Amino acid sequence: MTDRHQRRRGSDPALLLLISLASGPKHGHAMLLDVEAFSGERLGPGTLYGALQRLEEDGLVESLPADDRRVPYRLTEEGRRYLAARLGTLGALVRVGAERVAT
Amino acid sequence: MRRLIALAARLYPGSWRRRYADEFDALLADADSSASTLVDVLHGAVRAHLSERRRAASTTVGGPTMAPFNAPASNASRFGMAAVLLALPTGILVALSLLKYVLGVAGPFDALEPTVTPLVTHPLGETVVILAPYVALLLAVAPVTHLRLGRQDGRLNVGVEVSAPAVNVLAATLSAALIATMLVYYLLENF
Repeated sequence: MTDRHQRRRGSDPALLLLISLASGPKHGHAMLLDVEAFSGERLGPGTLYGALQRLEEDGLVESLPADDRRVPYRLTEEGRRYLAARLGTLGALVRVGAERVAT
Repeated sequence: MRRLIALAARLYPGSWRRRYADEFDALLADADSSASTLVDVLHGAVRAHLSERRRAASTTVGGPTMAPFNAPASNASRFGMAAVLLALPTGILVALSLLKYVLGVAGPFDALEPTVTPLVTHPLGETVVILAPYVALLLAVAPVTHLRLGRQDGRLNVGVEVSAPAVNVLAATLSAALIATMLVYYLLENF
């Protein structure tokens, strides 16, 4: 894949955060490191908190008591259900896309 | 750079800062203090203002008013100050270039050249220097510009209202002058 293609692959930050939190509560910096580790995507602090705010307003994540100034977040039950449904849809898209590319 | 990022974080809306500022500042202390972090935080501040504005508009009854920003005066001034800081390095470079190549005063430019050349010849540095006045102009103008759309007798009415603190006027003037100077320079070089 060329550099140009690599740059174009940008993912949905909110989805990446939900996937990160699916393995357990994390604070902001831990989420950034985890997202980079499993997706190669380097989110910035502004992008992270923009997505976190929307997810919190939608009831998909919730904050836990602060550890020093760092506030961990976790998936809500609604967030877990939403993530499972979203991944199911994406999985179906991936299967269809892979079949069509192969033909 | 870390101080610039901390300043950029203060550009978020007051309500956002009351909820997230402590933890966001803690995250910034752990994050890279790079130009890309600065751009990301500035972008985040603009998006936070936009989403706050959208929320306010969605709770307003019946008004056909649409404003991309409706920042209180203090927030508008912060954007203006950020715009001045953003445009300043490009402004200094352009002023020193004009001194040397138009007025023949080479001393200040030559003194800075060994330090500045590696920065402005790097692709990222060059991009930042060129884009800074455009971003600064947007930062200075957008928070103080209110766009009103409405319909009357089947006609579309568009109204623009600008109410700008002095620092935003300064930033907009500086940025516009830099953009014009760079455009003229580009045209003279290429045509």
